[in-house]
Order: sequence, then structure tokens, then C-alpha cells
Amino acid sequence: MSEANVPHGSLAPQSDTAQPFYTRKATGLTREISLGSNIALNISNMGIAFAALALTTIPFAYPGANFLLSALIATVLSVAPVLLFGLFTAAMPRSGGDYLFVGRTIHPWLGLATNFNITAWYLLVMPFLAFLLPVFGVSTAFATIGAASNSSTLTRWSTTVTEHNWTFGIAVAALVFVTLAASLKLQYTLFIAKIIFAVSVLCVGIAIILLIIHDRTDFKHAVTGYGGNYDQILADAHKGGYHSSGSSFGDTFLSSILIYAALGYGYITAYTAGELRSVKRQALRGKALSLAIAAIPVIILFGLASRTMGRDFLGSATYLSNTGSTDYPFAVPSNFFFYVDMLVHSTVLVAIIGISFAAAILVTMIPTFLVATRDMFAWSFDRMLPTKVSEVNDRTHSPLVANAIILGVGVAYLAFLVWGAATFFEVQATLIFGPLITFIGVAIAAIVLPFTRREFYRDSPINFAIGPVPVISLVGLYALGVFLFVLIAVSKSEVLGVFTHGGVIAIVVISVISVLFYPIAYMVNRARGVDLGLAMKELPPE
Amino acid sequence: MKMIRTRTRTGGPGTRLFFASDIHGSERCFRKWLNAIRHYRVDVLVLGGDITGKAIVPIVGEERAGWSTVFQGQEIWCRDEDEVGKLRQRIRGLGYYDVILSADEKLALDGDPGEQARMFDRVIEETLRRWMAMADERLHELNVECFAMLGNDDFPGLEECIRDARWVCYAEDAVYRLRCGPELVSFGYSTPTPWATPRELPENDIAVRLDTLVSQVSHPTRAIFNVHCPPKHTHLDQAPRLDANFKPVVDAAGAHTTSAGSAAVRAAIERYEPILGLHGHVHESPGVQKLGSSLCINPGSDYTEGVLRGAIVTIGSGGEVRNWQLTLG
Repeated sequence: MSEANVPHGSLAPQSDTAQPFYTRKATGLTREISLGSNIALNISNMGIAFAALALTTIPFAYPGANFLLSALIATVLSVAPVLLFGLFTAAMPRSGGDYLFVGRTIHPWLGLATNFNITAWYLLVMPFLAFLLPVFGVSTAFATIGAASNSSTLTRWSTTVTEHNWTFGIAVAALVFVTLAASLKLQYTLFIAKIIFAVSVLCVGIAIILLIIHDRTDFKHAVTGYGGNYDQILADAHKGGYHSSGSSFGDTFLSSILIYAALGYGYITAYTAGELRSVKRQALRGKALSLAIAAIPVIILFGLASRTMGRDFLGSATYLSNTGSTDYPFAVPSNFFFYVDMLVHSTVLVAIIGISFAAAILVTMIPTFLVATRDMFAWSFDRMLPTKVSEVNDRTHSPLVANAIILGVGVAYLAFLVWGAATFFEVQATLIFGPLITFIGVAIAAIVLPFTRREFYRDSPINFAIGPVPVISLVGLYALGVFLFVLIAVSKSEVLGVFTHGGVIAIVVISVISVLFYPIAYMVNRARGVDLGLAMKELPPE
Repeated sequence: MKMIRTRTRTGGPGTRLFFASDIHGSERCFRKWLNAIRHYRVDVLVLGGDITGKAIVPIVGEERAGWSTVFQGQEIWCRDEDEVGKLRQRIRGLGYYDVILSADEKLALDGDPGEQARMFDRVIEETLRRWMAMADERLHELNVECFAMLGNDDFPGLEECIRDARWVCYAEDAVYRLRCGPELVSFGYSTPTPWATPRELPENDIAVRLDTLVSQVSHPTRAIFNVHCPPKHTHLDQAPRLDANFKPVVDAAGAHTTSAGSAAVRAAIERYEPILGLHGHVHESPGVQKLGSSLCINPGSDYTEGVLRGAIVTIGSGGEVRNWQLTLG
């Protein structure tokens, strides 16, 4: 049958051990990504610098929380999405993502609803991150550089940039920057993201070193140098109503959700699986190690901040700052990197920390932007959206229409954040709450997969069980428990107001569109002769 | 112009065409492709190349001691022939070939690349002939136009297995006119890949061969290009960038991609402006993109999951693309 009777199989590398299978030269026989690549990619998606922001939020919202224990609990909680997405990816390596995990396991309607929900929240997360840039990043840098260099101009600017117009302008510039970066050829976008990521880890590293070499006495002196009084801040906050009780396990447990919000996204390599699947290696080991590696600096940071700055100080200062108290002595809102800057006497180092924190914000925005674009592509290819949305630019191959939509939504929500939102914390809490609805959908899909897709599950590499119970179902149950805990904890908090006016409007609007998206697309397509019901319906092989 | 072996049936005002590609030995995907006729109610069936599998899974053992294998990272034991049968079905469903060997045969085969290669030749041909028999059995009572061709991963010579089928046309043999009007131009070679696969050609050769093929078409602007390799620099040809060890290049920024399509295919589509381009080759890049007035589709491939990715395209009575949709069957 072959030309000149030459055998065609060209073989996998020989080894001393028995070969589990034989391969020939064929397109797409890629190997799994290396462990190092796996870890780098997952960690870049976790936002370790954002965990540091919880150092001021936690003692304010959960005064009795133990920092170290909270970070440890958050790490344990973060195992849930790692296992959940890891196992699902081993089963559906090419498909990837909640859209098809849920759509193929339960129903395309639910798949689209959960995917629309998380994409909509991602669209809102980006302007929120951009909003942080002037309020925490630029303002903090100006204030600390101004103080270090005795420049009243910079100190004045630190307040000016927190005014509405400036905040809006700087945040829009950040959104435009990210949109432009995402509109380049992908290789350039990734190169920019890589550089920004390298810069972004500096602020955490510098903070750890500074907190190691300085003790509480040094910090008290530093606070005085910035016009404050460490003990007075504590006294004013307590007088004003802030109660930092002793250690409370309830507060510790509940506060872990804020660190989880930073660590719980270490599963991005779910989208890079190779064709020759091995559940143990590809899907789990890299992600588990990534989580461990990311958790270590966070845990160290929390321990050191507690020692050098003091939990009571961080909570008291944040209380005064957030309640708009006239007793708050500083020009910029309370945030961890501002207090780190106080320990620095070098203008250059302060500038590096400021730039690094700004980079931490931007580096999170880029993958979020790309994921949102990718989701819109998928909807367009499935005829849920007009095909115009998936048109790409001939030169850069980037989807300019989709990018423009994302930028437009981002700027609109940014305007709401700047002029309409109640507080930073209320917005943050709603943004933690919203995506959880999608994760709950994925967890439920994991629980039912062995029962709704019996044949698919049987032939997948994740068909192992503990006793009679499939492991994927157990993982789904564990993840569901974690997601429900985070959902309830963030909803119940009196300080983290999920259900503020703006938050409720966002949740209701997004939920309603999520539910109606599929039936509307179904009807529109039916009118033009396309049956969307066929898109994910499994063909019977017999 | 070659006539097609089918039973007569009018295409009606809208002819539905189902296209899938890159099933790579997955028997479940092949069966699903055949079942698309009834399930999607289509009139034309096209399989766009890369039909054969990439790996053989040896099942080692004998009746007295039982059988074992390592599949998808899991060690699997079978106690009886019934279990072995189910295992073989599972292996075949996901795009692998299976062979049953004794422990001694397995040991000998591990150290004999030549024999492994001959085994590939044998199991691939046996499987393809079995599939074509299955197709003939299912298609003879149906009224569809059915086309299949080899892709870059399929060994030259396997065309004969398809040509021998009664109800499946080997698509690369000629330009076929579909009953609904458009002519089908088929070409299964790809540009050179890092794996040096059996059917690759340099860009210049692809350009010449495509021009020769299109010269046989009466109305190129009303043709359908069934060309395995997608047009270069489109959303349909974005593959993972690989290092020297075939590992995807991934760093803190993400997974890097590269264009794995053909510039010659793109040039041909832009020059002749067919109504439709049907492509495969790059599994990771399912999508739809317009090049000029031509609609180009790559449904991608999930054969490792036993899922048949495909595209249903409705051709109007005027020979125009009336509608399309991607499917995950």
C-alpha cells in the first residue's frame, strides 16, 4: 500500500523502559509544557500583589482575623479551583473553559449563561483594576516620593490624582494602553505582558525585604516622618468605633476569602494541554506547585506585616481612611504599599515600588482582556453573536471590533466607579461575588459529569473513583462547598457590601442577560435557518 | 468533470453540507461523521483529511494470565476477552490503534523500530478498509454525496482504500460538481511541518498544484475549496509555537502561537474567490473567517475526546452560502 514499500512509522524516542505506546511522525503530537512554564504561567495569573492589598482590607473588615491562619486557609480553599479545572481539562483538553465544561456536561444554555456571566464580570474587573491605578498606585507614589524628596508639588499631586476627573483620565489611559497592547500581534502582546509581569513581582519582593529588616519601632518612626502618630491612629480609630478584638476564628475564616480572591486563579494552564494526555502530570502537578509557590510569599508577607506594622495599626488606619475621618493623617488612602514606602528613604526605590505596583495592576488586566476576547470569539463562532465580532485585523490578526466593545464597556463602568460607586470595598466585594456564580456552575457540572456523559466519562483519563464515588464528583462537591462558602461569606459581610445599590443592579442585569442570551440567540438563528440546538449536541456514533 | 456515485435526490432549495476533518484514527469520530447524515439531515458529506491515527497502544497478555496496558496514563487490567473487547473499543474510539501482543512480542517490538513502522502500515490500512466497508454499508441506502481525502498525516497509497469504497468518492481524484451547483476542488497536502509528515509540499508547489486544479473549474467564484491546510495568517491557522523538543512555548505571559497555514492557499482563495473554503490541519484553531468574499471554515478537532467537530453549511439554490454553523458532535 505504500510507496516503494517503505514503512512510514517514525517512532517515539526509545528508552530502557517499556513503551506504553508507539507513535509515528504526525502533526500535533506536541509534548506537555515544561513544569517551569506551567508554574510561570499560573503564577502570573494569580495576582500576588493583590493579596497584599488584603493586608489593609482584612483588619478593617474582619478585625479579629489572624493574618497567617487566614493566608493558610485561603491556600487550602484555592486548591478547589485548581483540582476542578485541572481534572476537567484532562477530560476536555482542547475544549477548555467553563463554556464547554458546563455546556457539554449539562446544557448549552447553562454553558452560555455561566460563560456570559463570568465574561461580563471580567469586563467590569478591568475598569476596577484601572481605577486602582490612580487611587492607590499613582497617588501613593507621588505622596511617598514627595515626602522623601521634600517636594510639596508631588505631595499636592498625590491628592490631585484622586480627584474624579484625574482618576477617570488616568484609568482610561490604562484601559486604552491594555486595549492597544491586546490589539497588537499576539506575540508582541505576550512580550509586553511578560515584561510587565517581571516588573510587577518587584514590589512584593522589596516589601518582604523591607519588612524583614525593619521592626515595629522603625515603622513607628516612619509613620511619624509622614506626619502621623502610630499610637494616636490606634486611639482615634478605637474612639471612632473600630473594634479590633483579639483573635477570632470566625473572622480569620471569613477573611480568607479576600486572599482567596488573589490566589484562586492558578489554573490558566488548563488551556495549554497537549494531545497525549496524562492526568497526573499535565493537569495537576504544575497547578498544585504553582499554588504552593505563590502562597509562600503571601504567607511570609502576611506574617511580616503583622510583626512590623501590626494588624491593629493596619485596621485602624484603614478604618479612619475609609470612614473619611478627619483624624486620618495621610494624603493618600490607606493601602499596604503606602506603608511599605514609608520604610524607604530612597526616592528611586519608592518609584520602583510604585511602578511595580502599577505593573501588577496592568499585568492582570492583559490576560483578563484576552480571556474576554476569546469568549466573545467563541460566541460569535457559535452564532450567538454577530460574526462581525470575530472579525480580525489583517495585519495584526487581533479582533478590533471585540476589543472596541470591551474598551467601551470598560470606560462606561469606569465612569460609574468614579462618580457613582458607594465605596471601593463595595465594588470589590461585588466583583468577587459575581464570578462565583460561574464557578458554582462548573462545580455542579463536575459533580454530574459521570452521570450525564457516561460514555465520555468512562473513556476519559479521569475515570477513577474512591470506592463507588467518582473523584471528579468529589472534587466538584469540594469546590461547590468552597465557592458557596466564599459566596455566603462575601454576601454576609456588613463591611463588604455586595448588595449595595450598584452591586445589586450589576448582579441583576448580568444575571438576566446571562439567562436570556441563549434563548434570544436561539430564536434569532432559528429565523434564519440555523438550529443552535445542534451546536453542542453529541452525535450518536451508532 | 467526474460524476459522483450517489442515488438521486434533489438537493432542494437549500443543500446542507457537513464537513469534518482531522479525525486521526478515532473510530467514534468516523462513525459520528457517517451518522451526521441522519442526525444533521445533510445532503453532502466531506471528510477533509488526516484520517489516520498517530499511535498504537499495545495490549500485553494472554488468556490465562489476563491482559494489561497503560492508556492515558492509567494502568488497565482485563481479566477476560469481553473486557479486552471493551478496552479495544475505547482505544479505537479516541484515535489510537490497538494490537494484542504477548510479553515477549512486546519486548521484541520495543527494540525494533522497523517492525513498529511495519505494524503502523498494517493497522492503518486494515482500519481504513474496515471503515470504508462500514461507510458502504451505511451509505448505500441513503441519498448523499460523500467525499473523503487524505491529509498531510496520511501515508500516500491509502487513497486506494477510499477509492475501493462503493459510496465514498476520493475527493482529490477530480473536480466534482455537486448536485446543488458548486464544484468541489480538493487538495490534502500541507506546507512542511516540524514532524516531516508524509504529504507535505513547499509553498511554490502548492501554488502550482492549486492553479492546475482550479484551471479545471468552470466557475471558480462558485466553487468550494476543500483544502486541508488553512490560509496563512488567519484565525484558522494559529497553532502553538513549539521548541526543539516539540513542547509548546509557554511563559509567564501565556502560550505563544504561530501561523501554521499556507500562503499559497491564501493567495489562491484571494485570487479565485470561491464561495467556501473548508480547512482542517490546525486542531487548536477552530473558527470562521472571511477572506474577501470567501467564507473560510476550520472546525478544529477534538478527536482525542471522541468528539467530532464539524461545520454544517447550507448552500442556496443559487450556489451561494446561505448559512453555516460549527458543531461539537
